Amino acid sequence: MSTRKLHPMTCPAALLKLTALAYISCASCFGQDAYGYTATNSVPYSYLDISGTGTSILSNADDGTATLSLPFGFRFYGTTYSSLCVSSNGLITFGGCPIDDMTTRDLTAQSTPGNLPVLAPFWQDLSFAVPGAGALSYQKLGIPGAQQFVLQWNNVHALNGPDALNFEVVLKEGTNTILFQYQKVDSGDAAVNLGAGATVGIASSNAPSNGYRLQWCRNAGVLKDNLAIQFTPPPATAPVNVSSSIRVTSSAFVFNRVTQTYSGSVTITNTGATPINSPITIVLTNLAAGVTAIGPTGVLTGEGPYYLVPGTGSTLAAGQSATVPVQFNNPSNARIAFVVATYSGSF
Amino acid sequence: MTISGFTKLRIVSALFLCSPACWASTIYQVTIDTSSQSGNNGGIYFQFNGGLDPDPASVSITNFAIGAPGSLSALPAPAGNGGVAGSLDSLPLVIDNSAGNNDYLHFLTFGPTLLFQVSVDFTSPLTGSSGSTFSFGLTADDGLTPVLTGDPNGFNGQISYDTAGVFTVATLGNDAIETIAPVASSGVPEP
Repeated sequence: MSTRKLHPMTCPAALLKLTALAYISCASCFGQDAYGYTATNSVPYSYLDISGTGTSILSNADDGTATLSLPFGFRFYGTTYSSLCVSSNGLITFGGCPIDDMTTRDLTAQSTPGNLPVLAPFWQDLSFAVPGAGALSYQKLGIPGAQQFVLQWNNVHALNGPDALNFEVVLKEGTNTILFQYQKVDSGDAAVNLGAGATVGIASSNAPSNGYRLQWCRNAGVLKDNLAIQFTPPPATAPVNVSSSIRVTSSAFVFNRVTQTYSGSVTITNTGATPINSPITIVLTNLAAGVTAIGPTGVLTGEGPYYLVPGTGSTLAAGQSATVPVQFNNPSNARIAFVVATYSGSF
Repeated sequence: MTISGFTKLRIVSALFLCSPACWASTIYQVTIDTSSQSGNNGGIYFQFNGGLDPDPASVSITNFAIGAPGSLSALPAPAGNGGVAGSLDSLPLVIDNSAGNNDYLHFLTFGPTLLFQVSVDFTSPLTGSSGSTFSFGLTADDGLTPVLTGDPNGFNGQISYDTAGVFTVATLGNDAIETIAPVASSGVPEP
């Protein structure tokens, strides 16, 4: 195991402040971020080599992406995903594929491509379209309840880089932890070697403003062969119904005749005297017959569609409001009615 | 008074003067320069929808005028959904927020200008969980394709009020050709 030292050129002052306490008590830890994710390289390195057993994709691809179904629901920054998009450029996104991920970004200061949530094990302009390059392999391992989904970049090359890189991401069912493992990141090219030109970390949408990001390093050669970095979400807290402290209002629901959909927003206001801890989720219960929600965060069986309330930071302070965009199908043009239940804590 | 697309005009209506219950009205004059469409066939579309549990409300459209050589078309016939009464041929056109979608489409031939007044009326005090929004849009002769706007919902302008009775007005199309100006605001006894 190694102790990663923060590089002053790559870690803004705010991040240094955020992480200072963690470094004092835990030399090889990082975080937590505003959501509560932490990262550490004090975990065993145990490379799961699936190059011979997994399904290979993106062979010969440069700037290629592929959408993959997840074998289990994976929760990332409060949203449970059933699919992801993997890129030859050492990047994974949720909620869609990026149009352009060839140029890396500073997760602490810039939005991610398409403002999509990202896992960046080794985000750089990488390519499989190089003689002798490999492919990206993926495979589900383990038994239901404790499955792992492995995505492995095998013999991927940096642009014009002479040597191949091998690294992988392991997503773990239930714990929703994320493991980056580096088998070979010494490329023999100073611009690539050990992550010298890569962004490594995780980030949610709107990361620069909400602080939901942990950037392990950017353009700093601090990775090494046989290294593992684990990102861990905050402990799940049982959701508490806080509806009695919430006032719910909405905008008008405007009908779009082209898409035949209704759109608007729901606003919650903390009318209590104390802050409400995030994550905060609203559930639209008793939704009027024939009305269905489009694009909710998920659906609670027997309850209705739910939405993670964005932009509330760590709490919704007394008197503070937060707004969630909503969209509906309503083919009978009935009055759109529902009862909002608000929860604090993770589902 | 010209209001740019992203400049929102906020007007607190006179509803707070009404006690214990009355009918508050706020009137706007809408003017659209349609000279670039003059002579073309098209349509005008109105929509008045509430949100979650809105208070009863309606909009009344009066003083509708199209500059010559424009005129309302008899065919195709006007079409409406939800709480619609009257027509542009037989003013006032009244649209309430009783259904999920309450709208009205009337075909016409554009002239250089298009004018109308809209009175937004609701009971006071407001007790619902949402306000309502009046939206209007110009269309091509298919009655659907938006004209003179890039708004994703196809509207040229909106007049909204929230649960506190605060109005927000926005032009959504070509700001240079549209104005939405307040004319009057009053609280009167509920009819």
